[in-house]
Amino acid sequence: MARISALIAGEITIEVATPDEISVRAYGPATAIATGRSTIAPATYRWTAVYVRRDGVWQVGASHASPASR
Amino acid sequence: MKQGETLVYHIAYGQLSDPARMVSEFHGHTPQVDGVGDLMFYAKTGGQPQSGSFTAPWDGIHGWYLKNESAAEVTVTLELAGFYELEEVPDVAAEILALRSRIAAAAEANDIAALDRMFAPDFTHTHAAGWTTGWRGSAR
Repeated sequence: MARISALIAGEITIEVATPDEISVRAYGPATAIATGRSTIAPATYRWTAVYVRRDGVWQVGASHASPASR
Repeated sequence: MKQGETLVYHIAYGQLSDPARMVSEFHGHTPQVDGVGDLMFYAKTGGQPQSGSFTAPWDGIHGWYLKNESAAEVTVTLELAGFYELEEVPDVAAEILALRSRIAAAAEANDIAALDRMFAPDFTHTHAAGWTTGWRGSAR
């Protein structure tokens, strides 16, 4: 399912899931990487998201999630 | 600061239980052109207070990179006098957290136009199972 379809359908994705850990690092004025851990029941994921600023506006460029180990 | 301009400064970090866990790098860099510029470090210290005078070796942005590696909060006090202009540094972490909130709100409101503005057209997400999906494209 395309990501926009998942979001519109109300699916909780790692781009919107409430993180219980999050770290954001900036690499210059237009690139940032966030890493976090979120629970999307029944599983908990560690995820990475890359953000880019285009024309002054932040966008999500890519993301990845893996199951978190205990 | 412009080349040759001078300021005096005092930077302090309050009472630190472990000053070595406070990273402070006084440095300067020229404006970048196509991602390339000059960088110079003037002082790398821990959490020890520092005072001095500084004369800019060239036109550029001069200041302190600070990182608190301890679990305790740190209050940094910086006093400046001389010739300089302050540049506002964006709080990228706050901006990214705000973006996440806007994405959630737009998804809840089914605001497709807003979501389109907040995801790159070539966005990809790689799922835990190893397959990848695009913003509007199908999985592969």
